[in-house]
Amino acid sequence: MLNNAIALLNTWFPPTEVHAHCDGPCGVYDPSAARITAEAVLSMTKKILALEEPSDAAGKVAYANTLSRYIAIKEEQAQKTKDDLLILWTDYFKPVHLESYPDLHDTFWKAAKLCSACKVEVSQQHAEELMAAVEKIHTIFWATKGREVAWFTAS
Amino acid sequence: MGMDNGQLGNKPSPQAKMLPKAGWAECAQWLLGQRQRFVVRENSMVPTLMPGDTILAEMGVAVQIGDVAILRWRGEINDPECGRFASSKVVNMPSDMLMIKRVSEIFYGEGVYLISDNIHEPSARDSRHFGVVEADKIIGRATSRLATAL
Repeated sequence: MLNNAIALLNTWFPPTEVHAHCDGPCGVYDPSAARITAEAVLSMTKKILALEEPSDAAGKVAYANTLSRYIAIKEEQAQKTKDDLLILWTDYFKPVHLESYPDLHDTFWKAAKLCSACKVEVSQQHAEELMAAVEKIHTIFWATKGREVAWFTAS
Repeated sequence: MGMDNGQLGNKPSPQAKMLPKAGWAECAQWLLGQRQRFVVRENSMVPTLMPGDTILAEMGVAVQIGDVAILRWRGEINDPECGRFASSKVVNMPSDMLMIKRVSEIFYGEGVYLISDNIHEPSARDSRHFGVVEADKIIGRATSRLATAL
């Protein structure tokens, strides 16, 4: 009974908030970080698929070097995408957001899985699916803030 | 801060004191303006305080080891953990917010070491990250729990 009365009081006269975390000092979130890295994954995947192996010895060395660099960048950017998505998922989104977006957990889980798939494979389809997943998260994120932010890509 | 991260079953440290429920005396002091009402956000003070708990606090008093302190964070944080996530979070960003933490150590009355009760919460930030806090940043101490989260 007292709990209900206090809850009512809190609704009418909201008390000051005290934070158990300190997300305020570093709590600026933006899914664009994940968009940029996911784009890099897609770009590297396309470059790897388009790379042709030459027949001469010098060309093979250059090919191996370029391919290694593309793979390393794809690996790194996919991991960064995963990190950025997990931060949004676990730090920014709250249980209240689930009421409006009941598939939120599933969306993030699948997006994180796609990051892993993009690391393991050279799959343009999965890289494009990752971009689509990040776009969906972008849309949800800005909707929770009541803002309309257009989706765009750098390439 | 996501609830998924929380280690909700963690026990507080041995020196941690649970906050008592607000009795009539506490409520009377609140009505007389001698206590201030706060609502707790996030879960790094679990199990002492759950997100959504309403507490009463005595303002402008010195804290003792074991107290639950309320501090005004007005400075900048230099957090290597946040730096790791710099792509998603801006570090060293000026802020003004109230935080609630357990007093773990007091150094000559001038510096206070604050700790989260739920130290296994990955996103918990306290003196393990931002170091000793000046005593003048402590603005009060929690005295009781007025209501628990519904």
